Amino acid sequence: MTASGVSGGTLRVALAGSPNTGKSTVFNSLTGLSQHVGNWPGKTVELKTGTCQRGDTVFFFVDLPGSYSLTANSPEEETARDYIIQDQPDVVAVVVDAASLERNLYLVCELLELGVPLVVVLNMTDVADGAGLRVDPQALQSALGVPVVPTVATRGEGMSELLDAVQAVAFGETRPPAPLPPTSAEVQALVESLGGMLPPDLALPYPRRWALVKLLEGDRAIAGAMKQALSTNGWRGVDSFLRLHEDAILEIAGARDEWVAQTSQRVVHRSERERVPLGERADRILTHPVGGVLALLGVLAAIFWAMFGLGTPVQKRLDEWLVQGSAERLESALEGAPDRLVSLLADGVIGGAGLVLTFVPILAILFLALALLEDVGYMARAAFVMDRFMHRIGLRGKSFLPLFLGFGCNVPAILGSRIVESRSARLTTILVAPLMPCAGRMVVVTLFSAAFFGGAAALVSWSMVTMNLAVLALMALLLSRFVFRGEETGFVMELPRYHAPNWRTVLMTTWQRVRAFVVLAGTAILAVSLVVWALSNFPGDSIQDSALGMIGRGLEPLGQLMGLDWQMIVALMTSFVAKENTIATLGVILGTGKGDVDLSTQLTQVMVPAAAVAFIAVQMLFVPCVASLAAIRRETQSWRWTGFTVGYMLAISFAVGIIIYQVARLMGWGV
Amino acid sequence: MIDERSQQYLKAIGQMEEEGEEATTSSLARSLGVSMPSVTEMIQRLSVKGLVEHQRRGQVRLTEDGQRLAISLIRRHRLWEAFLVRFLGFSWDEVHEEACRLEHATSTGLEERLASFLRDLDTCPHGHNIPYRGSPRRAEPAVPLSKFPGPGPVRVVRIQDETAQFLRRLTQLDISPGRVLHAEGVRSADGSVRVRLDGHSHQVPAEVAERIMVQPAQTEDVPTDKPVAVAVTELRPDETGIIADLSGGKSFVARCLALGCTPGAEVKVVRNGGRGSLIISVRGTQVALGRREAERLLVKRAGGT
Repeated sequence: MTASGVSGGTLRVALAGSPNTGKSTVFNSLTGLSQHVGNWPGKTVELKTGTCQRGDTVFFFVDLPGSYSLTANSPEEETARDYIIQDQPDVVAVVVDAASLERNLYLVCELLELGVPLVVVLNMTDVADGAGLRVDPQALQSALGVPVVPTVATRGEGMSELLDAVQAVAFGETRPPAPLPPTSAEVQALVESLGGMLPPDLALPYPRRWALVKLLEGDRAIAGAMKQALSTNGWRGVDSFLRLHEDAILEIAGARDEWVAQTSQRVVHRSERERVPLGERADRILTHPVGGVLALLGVLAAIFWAMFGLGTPVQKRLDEWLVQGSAERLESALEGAPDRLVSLLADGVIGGAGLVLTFVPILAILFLALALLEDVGYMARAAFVMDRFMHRIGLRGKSFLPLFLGFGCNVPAILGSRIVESRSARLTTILVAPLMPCAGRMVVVTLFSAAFFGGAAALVSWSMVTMNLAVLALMALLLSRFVFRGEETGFVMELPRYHAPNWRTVLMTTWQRVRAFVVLAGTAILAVSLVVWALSNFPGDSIQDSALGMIGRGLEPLGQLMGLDWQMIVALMTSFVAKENTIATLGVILGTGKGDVDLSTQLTQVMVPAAAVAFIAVQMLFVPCVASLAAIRRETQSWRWTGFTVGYMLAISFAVGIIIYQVARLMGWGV
Repeated sequence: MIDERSQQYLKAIGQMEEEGEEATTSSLARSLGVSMPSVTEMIQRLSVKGLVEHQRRGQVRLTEDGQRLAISLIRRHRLWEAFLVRFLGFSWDEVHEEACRLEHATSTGLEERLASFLRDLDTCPHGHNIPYRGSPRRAEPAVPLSKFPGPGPVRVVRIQDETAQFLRRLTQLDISPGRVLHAEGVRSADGSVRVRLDGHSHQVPAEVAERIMVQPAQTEDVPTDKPVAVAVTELRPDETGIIADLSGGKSFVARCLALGCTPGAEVKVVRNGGRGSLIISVRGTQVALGRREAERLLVKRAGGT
């Protein structure tokens, strides 16, 4: 019977693999646009699923979070492991990088120990060839006892063979797996002793022997489950036994690594022409203490230039066409309809949410740049170079990655901080992430500085970014010095091989992030636009008499210190829901969208430069948007830290706003 | 059920047989510190119960039943000693007395639980083999330090005197089972032995040396003059080393191991600026390490490339 002879129904396939093995590329190649991105139930880890149909068989793929081992060192690794063990997919396909097989076989070894139905995806064989390494798939297959499929996912090669192998394993057409990597007598004795201390009928959601080994490896999640299942005294005994044998992990992992080294020696052939990869030469500069930082600054500058040099003209066009143009068309089409209805559609919907949508091109450029840097392997170098500086403010290089994402949007920065393992460093990263100048705020800053400062606009924008980063550094330092004092942070990170960008993956990631933003604009931001429209149209007829106007005027004494009138305060308040809303609100309040005057011109008519600088400074440091706050609450699992973030940002923003306005006025910008 | 005194006799005979020595009424009297007539009386009582065989010239042997009892007592004693030192923080000079009391109050069930809990252990804190259930175990061949022929490295196998006073004396000399000393020969004048330990010379008196059982050290036991492990931060770029050990938080260790940084693996330092993080290359993967983390990764220098 051939592999494709048995088919039909749905096969659940889990895609496992370490980070940087091209796992996402395999996933994209297989599932294309059928992907669904969400969250694991009850967890804060991204869940990607997708399907692929061949004949009458549907393959349902779950892209597991990248993990180096089956020990739960991070929420990602725990999620991946629990899915494999508890949800029991029909087949686990583990993606390994042929160019660094030795490192990848560790996870394969653990999966073999677990005894799950396994297919090994030997990916990036082209990269390995280029580096002068030839991996013999046949030899690997006979060494592992499970099917090995060579692929080049970037070119879609080997995908059909992969599906064949998955089907063959799912329908039990393959040989039984090879014997497990052997455990030494010492480890065996430890496992038996530990087993003797546990009741034989102890109910655990893991295979017993496997759980015992993991316990000896110091797995926290399993220790937690064990503690729950045992009596206090029973656990105390187990705990002291484990503490005594803390070194067992060296023995256990050492045995695996030995097996890995032997296996890879048998299947990897190094050719004579093995040469220094281009990446290593690039790293001489990119990881250099000075050159690396300069290179990083250059990269950041290029991204900003692309965002504002290329993105802004497109945004302006969209603004003319989408916001002003369609508002006019709408008004002429709806002639005779009630004024309130026309105003709702033109000011509330188009002038609010529509305006925010015009920023999609700018965000798309940013998301594209980030995805590209991540894909080619540069991000890890950036983290390495930044570790020296991050270390000084109490953070580690790893925190740089999520914080950097914060340039796009604070929400992925907060969610991305999960890659930071130590609790204290992770909390610090989350609490300062809202200080990253996100694209939403940059939109406001760009608009204001262009309107008020002409040629110096870039300088003003740059100063604002610098100010935020300085406040961020100060806060991180204070938090690590006084709040999380004495808590250890650790920095261990793989530097992946550089490789040519895989545009499919890059574009897919960009598309997913852009889509999330558009969805946000269509829901939360639209809702706020409508609420703001309602608040500014009711109860009175004019804005002065509306609910919003009344709140704004109530707060005017405070605003006065920063040179802000009630309209600005209202705009600031609505930025709580989404930073971009400041513009939408100003558009609604100032009646942009009808008439010939655009928002920039209107702004220069209603405020002085000193107030404008104060306003954008306050805007930059103001409380996080609702989406960020929701993310903070979720990641810290604490209302206290969420409240703390709101409190400290509110205090800093007003203090800075007052200082800037007063100083700018003395400098003569108050007219 | 037999009384505690009888048990002590059985244990003493068992220990002598373990060492391959002959148990006699006189050797028993010496080891138990009692008079010859009381030994003779006790041996007669035990032989009536079918636990020992009385032979010519005061020779005493355990019967099969006697041996089973003796082994069980010895086993309980050593298991308790090991347990007390490991889990309750006793020092090795405190546990003999405690174990003597506990062994008599230990049921077979408890003995088995203890044995299973301490399954990875082979010896008591004083270096005596823990017998397996029901079967005698020959002691590891060894000679008293006082009888060790000629200069050379020796490994301490076990201690024959478990009194607190004696063991404290050994602690002062830093001698314990597993320790490797360099014996420099016996002085004929008083029978004392000169040993070198970590570069320091000590005179071990004869009465101490004869109760320390030693074996010629194997080559792997002997510490050599090879370079000791240093933190990987000590290596310059392009220098290589073999990982000797790593320590630190559990998740740090687990992550390192999953990335291939296991003891025995070769590492090459790619970048080390003397400050800040390092980049090392291990098993074909480049890994960035914070400086503090790198200080916990110990390597033995292998030379440059």
